[in-house]
Amino acid sequence: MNTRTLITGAHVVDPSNNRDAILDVLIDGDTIAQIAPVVEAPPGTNTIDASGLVLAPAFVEIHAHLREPGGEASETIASACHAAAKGGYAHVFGMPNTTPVCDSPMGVRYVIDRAREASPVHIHPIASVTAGMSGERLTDFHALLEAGAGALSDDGLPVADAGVMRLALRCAADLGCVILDHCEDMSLTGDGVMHDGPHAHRLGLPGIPRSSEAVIALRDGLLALETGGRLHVCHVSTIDTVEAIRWLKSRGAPVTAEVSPHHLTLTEARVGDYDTHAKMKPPLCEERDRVALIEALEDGTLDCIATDHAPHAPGLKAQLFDRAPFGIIGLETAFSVCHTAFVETGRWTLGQLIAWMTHKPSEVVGQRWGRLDIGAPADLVLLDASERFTLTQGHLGSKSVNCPWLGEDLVGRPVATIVGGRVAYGEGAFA
Amino acid sequence: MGIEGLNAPSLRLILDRAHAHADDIQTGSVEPTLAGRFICSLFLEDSTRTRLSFETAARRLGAEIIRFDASTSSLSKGESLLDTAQTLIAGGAECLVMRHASSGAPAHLNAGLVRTGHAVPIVNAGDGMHEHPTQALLDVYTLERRLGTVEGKTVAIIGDINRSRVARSLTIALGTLGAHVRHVGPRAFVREGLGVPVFNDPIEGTRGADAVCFLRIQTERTGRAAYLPNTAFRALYSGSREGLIPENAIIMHPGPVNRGVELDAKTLEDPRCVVLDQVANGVPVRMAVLERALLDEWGEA
Repeated sequence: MNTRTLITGAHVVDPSNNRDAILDVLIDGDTIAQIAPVVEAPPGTNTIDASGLVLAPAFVEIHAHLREPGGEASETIASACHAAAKGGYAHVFGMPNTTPVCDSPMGVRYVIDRAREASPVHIHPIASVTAGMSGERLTDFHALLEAGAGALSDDGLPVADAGVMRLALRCAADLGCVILDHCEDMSLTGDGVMHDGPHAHRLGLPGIPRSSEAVIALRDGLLALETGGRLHVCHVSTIDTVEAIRWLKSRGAPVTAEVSPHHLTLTEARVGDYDTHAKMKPPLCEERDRVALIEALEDGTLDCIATDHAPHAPGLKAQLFDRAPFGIIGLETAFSVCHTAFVETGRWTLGQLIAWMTHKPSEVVGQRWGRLDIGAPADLVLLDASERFTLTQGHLGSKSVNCPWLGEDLVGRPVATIVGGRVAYGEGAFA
Repeated sequence: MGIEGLNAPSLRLILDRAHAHADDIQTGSVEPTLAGRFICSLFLEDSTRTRLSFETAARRLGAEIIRFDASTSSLSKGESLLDTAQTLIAGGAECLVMRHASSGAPAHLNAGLVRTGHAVPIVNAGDGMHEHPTQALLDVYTLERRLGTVEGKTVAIIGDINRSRVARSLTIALGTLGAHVRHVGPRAFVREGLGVPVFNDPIEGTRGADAVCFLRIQTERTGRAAYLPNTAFRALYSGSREGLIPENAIIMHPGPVNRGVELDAKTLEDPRCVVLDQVANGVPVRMAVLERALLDEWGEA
């Protein structure tokens, strides 16, 4: 983009600043210079007519898997940035379960440097809580945060030992950082590969009991209450965990929580006859869980939406159900899927959805992103909220295509993502 | 590939054909309806009786059956299941009889073969904890031989039902044919919500049953420590418990029996016990199943 760009006529939706109107937005260099009903463009300004589009703060993803280093067949930092840009994201947090595990300042710097070469999208590495994610010895939180880690997590291989977790939360309290907690008791999960219900029984697949998530959410929530350490519960999937979080929050525990688009829109029925694109952790549960998750997001028990973008190369997902890896991609489809399911149907306003994808996740990690503040970095997304389309691989940006919504008819799609005043992804006038 | 999805007339057709084959075997007048046909058995999980039974059934109908040995094949070199199957089909196999440790493996392989344009009929000889259709058919067949019909009869299935593909297929088959099925076992082995009455009390669960079907304790599939030590299981849920098997009930077990756990030697020799009949009945049932897979003129209902 030119030094100065004026985007005119867009419907600006900026929930944290209570903006919901047709406004002009002037970008000067890398920052937002002016937002007003009519902005007079200074000479030399590049003007783009965005009439009919929605202009919102670019999205913030606090839970993604970038796979690099070690899993480049499934995703690279560059391809994850591309996926993020196509999905409307300016900030993406990458989980540390790579090979090697991101448990050192060097590992953190590696991810940041690779991302800077690749894309304007900001990648924030999450460092592991324990060395090698072995669940035993804490990493050097201070050094990792100094190196640029955005948060800490042992996602995918959660800390089993309550004593270690308690110590980690104490450290987090001292340093003012947040621990993103994948709540799962592996001894309860056992060899389970989907939700432990009648559908698993029909397919002859070992089930994951619903207690597997809730017992750890409650345990770690109590530890957060006791230590004052900030705990964020990842991808809540059951009504039990919702109730646990509701109770923890009522007690004043420093706990936040996220929910994924797939848990908001799909149930165990989506597994059908062994569809590995419905295999993820935590597993898709029952309709009563899905309803509870939607209501919990609406009443504030759950704080935000995060995708748990988990790319796996096609060959891996083409395996037999019990052997295929857990997880689906989600960066490119989060807005479209939620918009179709909840905004298009009139259940949510566009502002609600955008809030859950922008400033709310940002607040979880203690940042002021996801808001169109004057003087703030020009991170914004343009959405065609009325576009009806059938999702194809062409809409994806990831190196992997493990997406359960391929072939589905959706409404609303990001058409341009601007990060720090630079076009990270753009169609039409923004190309 | 599964009992699920087969309606009563389809099951009836297979069972009637099996009854006819059994008579023909008795009189030595089996018609070689599959003469010159080529079947491949693809057993990727251990089996004695099922594999032998399929091989005998194929030969009785005049078909050639080749046994694919997983341990000495390229599968051990990492060749995929789909590649292996395509190789067998390229070599002339017109039908695959398949056993696999993963639930859904036959459907998965079939999808792959359809996608690559090489589909042949796949007969499911047991997939993970999902289904074991021919075992269910031969169990129904055995019941019919003894009881005349299964319609209206009560069959108690007792033991490790959650992890049993036999129980799953048999429950569906019996339900489709109008029998009353009960699931009996300790809480770790049975679950509610499958549309079948569940009994944790074994005496209550088998009361008045026309047949009691014992299941093998799947030590190879539980992975973790056994829920009940064998002594406790024997005391509570085995055929040797006083009063567990109703006086006139048939005693069944798909095998292999953990001797002294589900059934003891005395019960196995009981005249009500049909365990060896079940093995023998596997042949005419599997003859019918192979014909269904391979014959165009099989009158599908």
